[in-house]
Amino acid sequence: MGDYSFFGLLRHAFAGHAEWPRAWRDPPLKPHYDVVVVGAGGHGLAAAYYLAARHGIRNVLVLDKGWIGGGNTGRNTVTIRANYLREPSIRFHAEGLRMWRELSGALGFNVMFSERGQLDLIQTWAKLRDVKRRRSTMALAGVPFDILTPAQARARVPILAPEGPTRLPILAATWHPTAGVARHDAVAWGYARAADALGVDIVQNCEVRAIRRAGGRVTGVETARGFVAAGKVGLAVSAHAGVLAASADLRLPIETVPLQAFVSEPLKPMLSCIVNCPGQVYLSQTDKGELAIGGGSDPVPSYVQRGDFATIERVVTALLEIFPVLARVRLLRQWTGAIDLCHDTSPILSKTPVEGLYLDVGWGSGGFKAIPAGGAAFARLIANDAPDDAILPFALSRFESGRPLYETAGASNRD
Amino acid sequence: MRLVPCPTCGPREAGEFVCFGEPRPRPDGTRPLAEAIYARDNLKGPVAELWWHRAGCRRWLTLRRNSATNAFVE
Repeated sequence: MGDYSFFGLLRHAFAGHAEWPRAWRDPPLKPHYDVVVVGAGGHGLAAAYYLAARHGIRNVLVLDKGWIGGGNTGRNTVTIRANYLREPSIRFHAEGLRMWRELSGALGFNVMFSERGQLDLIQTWAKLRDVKRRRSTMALAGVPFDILTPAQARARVPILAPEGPTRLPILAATWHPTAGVARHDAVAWGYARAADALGVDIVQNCEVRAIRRAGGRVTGVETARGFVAAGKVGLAVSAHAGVLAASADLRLPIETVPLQAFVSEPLKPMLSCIVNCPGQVYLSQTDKGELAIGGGSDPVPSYVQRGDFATIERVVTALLEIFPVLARVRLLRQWTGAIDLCHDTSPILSKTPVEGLYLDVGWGSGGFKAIPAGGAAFARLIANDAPDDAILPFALSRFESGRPLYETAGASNRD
Repeated sequence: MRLVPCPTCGPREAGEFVCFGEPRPRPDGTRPLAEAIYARDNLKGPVAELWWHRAGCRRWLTLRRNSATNAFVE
């Protein structure tokens, strides 16, 4: 593995950058692994890294049907925040924010985490009631979260529409100063490189077709390159969770829906924080100057990574109502990810009725921010074969026991 | 624009419809209540879905669609 320190870079610069080694190996499949993680996105790679780094389990395989971080890890709008409603969610994501701050140093790879804060514009009385409730639960968890006046919001975001008659006037705003953004690919590459250095095998372009069981216990996975035996199997596959779980006779409370994002042409710096208008549109400005824009999920469930024009129209309409200054800005790219939307819009981090099979799915529109905390929690769950207090509320059995964890803070929540 | 084949109105724009996803029959005791209420097949491939032509004939329809391609099938 190459060293990305200053002297390492200098040495390779003098060598004409001709001697850089591969950042991670392309190993052949071994017949048996202690743990097989399906899905080489952020969550799968982070789980493999923490299994090796914190729990000493190094005979680990991460499989992906495509390439590293080619699914929702590479398709999101990189918002990292902890402004949730329910206490388990807030505590979980607050721990995530702490990990994000130290991630570049821990991985030896710059993930470009930029803690720039998030401003939510509140335009309905229902949402105002919701954020007042969230301010209280956030205070209980000790995460900074304030309610601002419209004038304070305009001071933070000068490009907001000027005051005047409008369909949905700004009633208030919320300010979440510890929110931020990071470079999505760098997160996947950083974890892949660090996990590989600890001996984890990462195999790309190798689809997992089914989970094999014997006597209620996992025995391995059936892949495009044949059977691989495994002591434990973890699923971190987002959209395809239901397809793989079905091969182990599990039905999940998850629906696969498209979620779109857009990027504008590069502009001069004009937006210093993340701005979210709940249920309508959210955006932040990237280091390249592009505006990365997202909205709610598409209304029809689908596995197709291609969005609906009606959604683009809905999101852009809201965007121009709030930021009329962007009327002549052109959108450069548009893309779609297939997300795993759980019934209560909280994730499933859980054991299953099948012994040795674990789930890290149902992240819906909010999986990227949860990569460090989710990966670490998934590794703990797999290594200990038992959930700890932090992730017990995210168990699959919460639906049977009547304790769903309804959230109001996801991009796909409508109200 | 996506077209939805309505048996009475012909192909119409998807915005006229509400998609309610896979049909969820009333719990009848044949499987655990939580599974009957919350669990989904969430199939990749041909699915039968409940649609409502809200801004058209207002009929409730069961349409067959391929969730891996978005194409409606007969």
